[in-house]
Amino acid sequence: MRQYIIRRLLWMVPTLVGITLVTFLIVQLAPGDPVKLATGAGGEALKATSTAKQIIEEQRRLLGLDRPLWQRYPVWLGKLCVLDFGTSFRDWRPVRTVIAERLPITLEINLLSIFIAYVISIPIGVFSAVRAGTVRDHVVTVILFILYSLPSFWVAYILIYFLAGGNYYSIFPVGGINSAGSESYGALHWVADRLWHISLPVLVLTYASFAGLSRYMRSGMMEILRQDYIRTARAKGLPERWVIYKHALRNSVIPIVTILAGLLPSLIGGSIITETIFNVPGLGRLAWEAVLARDYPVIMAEATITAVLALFGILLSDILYAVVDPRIKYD
Amino acid sequence: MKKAVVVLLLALVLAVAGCGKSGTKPREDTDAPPANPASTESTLAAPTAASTEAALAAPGAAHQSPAGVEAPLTPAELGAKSLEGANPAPVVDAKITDGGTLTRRFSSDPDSLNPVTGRDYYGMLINELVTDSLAKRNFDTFEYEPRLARSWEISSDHLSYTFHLRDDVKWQDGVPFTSDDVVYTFDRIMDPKVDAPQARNYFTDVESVTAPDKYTVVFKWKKPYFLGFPTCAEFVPVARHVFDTGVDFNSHPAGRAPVGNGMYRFVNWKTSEQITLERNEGYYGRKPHIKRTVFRIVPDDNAALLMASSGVIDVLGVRPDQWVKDIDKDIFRRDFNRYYYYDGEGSYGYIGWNARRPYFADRRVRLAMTHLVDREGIRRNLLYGLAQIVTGTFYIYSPDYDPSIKPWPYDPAEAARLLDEADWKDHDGDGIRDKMVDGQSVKFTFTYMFPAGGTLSQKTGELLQEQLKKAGVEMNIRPLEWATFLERLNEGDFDAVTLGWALSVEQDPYQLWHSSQIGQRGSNSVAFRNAEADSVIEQARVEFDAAKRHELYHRFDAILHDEQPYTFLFTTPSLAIVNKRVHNVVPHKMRLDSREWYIPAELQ
Amino acid sequence: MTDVRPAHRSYWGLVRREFMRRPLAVGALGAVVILVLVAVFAPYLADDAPIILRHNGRIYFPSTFSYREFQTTDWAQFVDRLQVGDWVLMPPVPRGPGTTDIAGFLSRPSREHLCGTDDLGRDVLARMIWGSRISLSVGFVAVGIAVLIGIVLGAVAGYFGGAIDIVISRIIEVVICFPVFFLILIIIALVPKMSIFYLMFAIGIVGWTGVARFVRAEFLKLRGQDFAVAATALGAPALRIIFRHILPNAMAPVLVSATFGVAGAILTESALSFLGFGVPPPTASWGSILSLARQYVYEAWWLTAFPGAAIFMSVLCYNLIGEGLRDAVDPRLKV
Repeated sequence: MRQYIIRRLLWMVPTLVGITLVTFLIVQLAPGDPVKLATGAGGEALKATSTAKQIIEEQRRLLGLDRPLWQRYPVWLGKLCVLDFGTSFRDWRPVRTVIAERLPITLEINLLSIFIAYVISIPIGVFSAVRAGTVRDHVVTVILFILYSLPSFWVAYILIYFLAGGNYYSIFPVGGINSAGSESYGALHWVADRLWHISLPVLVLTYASFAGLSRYMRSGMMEILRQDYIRTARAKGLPERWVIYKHALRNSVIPIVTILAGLLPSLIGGSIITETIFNVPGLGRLAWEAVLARDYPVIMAEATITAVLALFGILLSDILYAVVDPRIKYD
Repeated sequence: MKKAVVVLLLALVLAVAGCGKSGTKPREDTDAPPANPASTESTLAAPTAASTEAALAAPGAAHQSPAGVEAPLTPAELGAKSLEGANPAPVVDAKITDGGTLTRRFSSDPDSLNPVTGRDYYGMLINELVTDSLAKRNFDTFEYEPRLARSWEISSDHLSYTFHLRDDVKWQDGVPFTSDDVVYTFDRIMDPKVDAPQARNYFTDVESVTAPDKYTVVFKWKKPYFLGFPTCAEFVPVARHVFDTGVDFNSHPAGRAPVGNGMYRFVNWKTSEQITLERNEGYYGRKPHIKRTVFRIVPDDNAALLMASSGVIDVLGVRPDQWVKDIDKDIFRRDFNRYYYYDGEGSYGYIGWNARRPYFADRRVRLAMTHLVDREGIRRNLLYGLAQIVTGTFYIYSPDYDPSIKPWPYDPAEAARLLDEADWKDHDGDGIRDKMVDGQSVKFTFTYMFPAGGTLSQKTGELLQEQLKKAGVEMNIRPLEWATFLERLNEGDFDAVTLGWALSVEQDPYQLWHSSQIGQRGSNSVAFRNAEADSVIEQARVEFDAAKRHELYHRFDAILHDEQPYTFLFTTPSLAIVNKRVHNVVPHKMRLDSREWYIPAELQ
Repeated sequence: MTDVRPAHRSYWGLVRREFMRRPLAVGALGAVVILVLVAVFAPYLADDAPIILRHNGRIYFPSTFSYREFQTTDWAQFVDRLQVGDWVLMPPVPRGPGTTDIAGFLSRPSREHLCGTDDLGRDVLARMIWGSRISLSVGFVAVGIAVLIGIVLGAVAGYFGGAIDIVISRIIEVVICFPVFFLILIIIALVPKMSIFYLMFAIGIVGWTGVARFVRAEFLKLRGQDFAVAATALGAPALRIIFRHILPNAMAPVLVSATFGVAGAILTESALSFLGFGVPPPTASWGSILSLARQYVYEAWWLTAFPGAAIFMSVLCYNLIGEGLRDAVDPRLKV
């Protein structure tokens, strides 16, 4: 196993280089030119003058876009090795700062969301699997699917309207991640204030995943419950609870573990819709704005971080597979 | 199982059969579509404008309802109702108190507060409050009034603009403001290592900026230009002693914490939360009454409206549908006043027809297109009547705009006639007009492109598409992501485009309309070429007698109206609500001026 | 053995029989079939043009054929002012998905417009009916592509292991990290005319990684099992083992994934049309109605409710079908 892990880690390096190279090429070859965007070349003023072309050239040089692609990539890669992500085209701040500003709140919201999703979905999945086919199972299914079908922006607006906007109840704030003047709060007060603010966004991000996650849990569990060794355990007279939690659960977790791999990169992702509606300054909005403005340094930085997380997530889930299920062997 | 299927099918047939309908109207020849398949050139039936006109005619006529039930208001009625009580006379008390906090709203963070490198609108707004320009327009007369410059002279050859600066202006850290700051700022703008391509381009014809003494600045131009004075007057300086510290200008921290000389002082900027300004007690001029202004950053419009209704936000710009529906509710009528005005720095929308394409090279076709866009219908319905159709390229309150020109009406019959005259007829009978161009038969099929997310553009396009179909023209609608869209536009690679142009009080149509600006060199993206227009534009550029210039531009307006290189669409007013606790809000022609506002002591 | 069953039953015949024994799954399949029929017969369900028209003594079928003399006819007006002696048979929803009525835009559901109208006054029910064509195609085809690629690559990687697994796993990792949005931008820039095929292709091409990983994991688990080892010992070729023996056991998570994938395709299509990459206007799709709903949440609840209901039906039906399939295919459940 240890050999396997080391091999995988070694493989990560060329894979990462490959991923970043592909991303670099595609991003820069796609239509849209950050220089023209920034200089508002669609606008009236820029092109009307004799010096416009020269100005665009100067701007290109300023942004480092005058060198050909095959020169730009190694430069970028070199800087990456010392963790220098460059400066943003839009506000000239180091990309590290820009991302670091938004990282904590993004992590908080995503971690909380994943945690809640699992804590709720797994028991529901087990419940459904054990009572598969009964009325209760069907009712739960229908409720979950209704939840899944509700578009997130609709849920967000409804929650705000009824719980936050002041038209009905004003239990939650309308947006933002902290109250004004919260810098002077004590630690506990600040945490409570933060939680109060992110409750609604977290809820909106999480509700849709109950359906999927619990479905995977349920189907995995049902697989297991059909197995012979479960029948044996029951025949032996073991209490049902014991059978489920001690024997069945461990094995039915396998598909859920695969999902974990996909969740690691989503830790730094974010829903642009939710972040806009609730005014959460997260990485989702940043990524989106960077793409629209063709802010290459920020785009590349986020793509790289996501790739690293994805690779680690995949490795982690592969390892967990082997740990959880002795039938799986890597050789 | 099989039985069930048969029963089902039978039921379906019966259900559908119940929808049969018989004719009740007596025969009228004008209504019948031509039923003669033998004709080789079928005259396409001109769809009548009757249905749309009926909708517009009597408000409420389209919505008959049983007696006793309130008919829902038509959009035009809603619009008219929403204007009731708008722009009220300002409330002025006997005693005006200073103090209080005014909360406004931005929908996103500015990218920078550096007046030289900053590009976006919100950055400009903040800078306007934090740093003064040399002079500024009066919001009613549009004349320039002194600010940092107390007086100025223009040389007779219009190449030298001399500004005499006030000697009592201090930067907000106490250091006096001098002409050296102006020169420093200009040098930074012209520095290729500074990220200011737009500003640099703006001053491209300025040969030099010099400071003969501490309180005098001279702008020297390479050639005379009627916009020379506004360009210089709107100059916003930065402080040399703040920026010239060896740190790179683009990433200088003062770009996020500006030190200005204007009526408000920057306090702090919490990213994605708010920007706070406080009154500059050392301001040389008339100080504003309100001591603190906070700009809350709220990306979502609906959330912003909710925050306004709960008293958190005092001043808010709203969309037309919010203006008409949401703020008509009691809570808004009770707590807010509403204002609408056509901002001098607003915009207008248009559909541009690329004259390089065979279809749109002919003026008659372009005019036909204009006749097929039901502008009045869109204005009354989709925009609730809260817009004006424009006929030209100038700000509607500018003397350059000719209000006597009436927009071409929606007239599908006339459009069909024009297309026929231009020899676009359905020769091959497939329902789409065609024409012989360079020996080949070309079908009248084109693509209408616009930036994705532009809802009005999309709606206009879909309406036009429907009308065109009836007129025998096929139009495809193509939304494009902004950056991709810009590329296509710049390369002239499109058939029809819809977009808008920003306006200013005074404008030079050269960039948009002169034939030298076609192609990569300019913004004449539709390749408009007209010798008379060219000469009018050139003359106006160096005509310093305002009255004569207005006359020239009126001539230009007439040419544009005749040629229809664009189908001009609308200019929409700014719609704002201001909390009633803010007094002395005067609805000026051009904008609202927050400098005059105050909040009475008991409401602070 | 006194076995009265016919001696020869094909594998898929067995599967079908098992499937038919589950009423919920069959019901869901029936619902999907109806949906497909609605999509196919949309012109006869919602259109301005009559199904049958008798005019001037002649019979026409405007919904089905395109007639020269009626090419530019405004059907809504024509039917309104029908002349004496003429007769029409209209579809149940007598308006088309593209007929605008700007004076009546965003009106609530009523007798005239059962599901209300959109921002240009078009009938939402008609647009939902015609939109089913887009949404079904995008869903089926996109997920079909994704599942196909995912199963093949995942199975091969999981079964053979070793170098093949290493290569395929790396490919999966690269595709997971691919900048999808830019790929779409490039595709859009290169194609002359926007069509839903590109949309389906884009969604499918990036959606297969999840399926591949599931399948790979299941194969890793199952290849060491007795039945698989036995099959190898018996000399069965690798492909047969993969698809005939192991795959049916590995399908469970794939089916769940496919279910949500189809509904997810609708949501993806909605997001893409909001950005301008969806089906070009004025074509209706459930996703485009949904993206419109975003602007009018509080005022026009019907714009959210009906696509939302459509998503719900899709997810429910496909999930039930998937489960029925899974149960039918499961060898352990055979009597």
